[in-house]
Amino acid sequence: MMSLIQEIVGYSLTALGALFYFYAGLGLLRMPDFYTKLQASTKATTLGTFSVALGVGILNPAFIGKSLLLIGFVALTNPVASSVMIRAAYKNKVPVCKETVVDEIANGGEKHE
Amino acid sequence: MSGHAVIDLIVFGLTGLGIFFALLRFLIGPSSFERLMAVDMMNVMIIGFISILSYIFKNNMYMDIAILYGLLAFIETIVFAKYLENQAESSKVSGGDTK
Repeated sequence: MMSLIQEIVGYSLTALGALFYFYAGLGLLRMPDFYTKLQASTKATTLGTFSVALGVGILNPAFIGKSLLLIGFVALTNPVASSVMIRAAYKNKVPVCKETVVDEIANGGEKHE
Repeated sequence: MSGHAVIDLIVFGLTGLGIFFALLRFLIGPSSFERLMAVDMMNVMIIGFISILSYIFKNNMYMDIAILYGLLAFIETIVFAKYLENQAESSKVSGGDTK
């Protein structure tokens, strides 16, 4: 009985993570400019990796330590990597899409009230 | 076909489609920043793929491979992003056009 609940929860988490990977690839392919592509794909792959690693750790409890280590590692490195990439792109003046409303760095960091 | 095989097929199919879309973005990406972003996202998806493989093969060592792959992918992304950023600054100093 315990094993059945374990399998249901583990497979559900793993399939949810795989679905988020699919959405990340779709956002990477369909979003209009660089910044929106990076935002969509970074968030979706971070959540997908959390979910897949937790699901594998629940399915086989011998892996739970390394799964938690992998979750902590991805939570530390993935936002740093996306932040460095987006700073490099902004300094290199990668164009934004035409629906963009405000660029706060170019306005001197002041808010429009 | 048992139930486990169907669920494994769905999981591997969705993850493989995500990796395939990232590969398409790497091939058609207009600028080098989009290619860099596609490689980074593909690496993160491959980490998840390897950790699913560790459950399929029931081998604990695939988790170590996933963690080390993530470390190398992180260093690769940081190095390429810093390289592209410094390239923009040096071309600005020398007065070149940054197109």
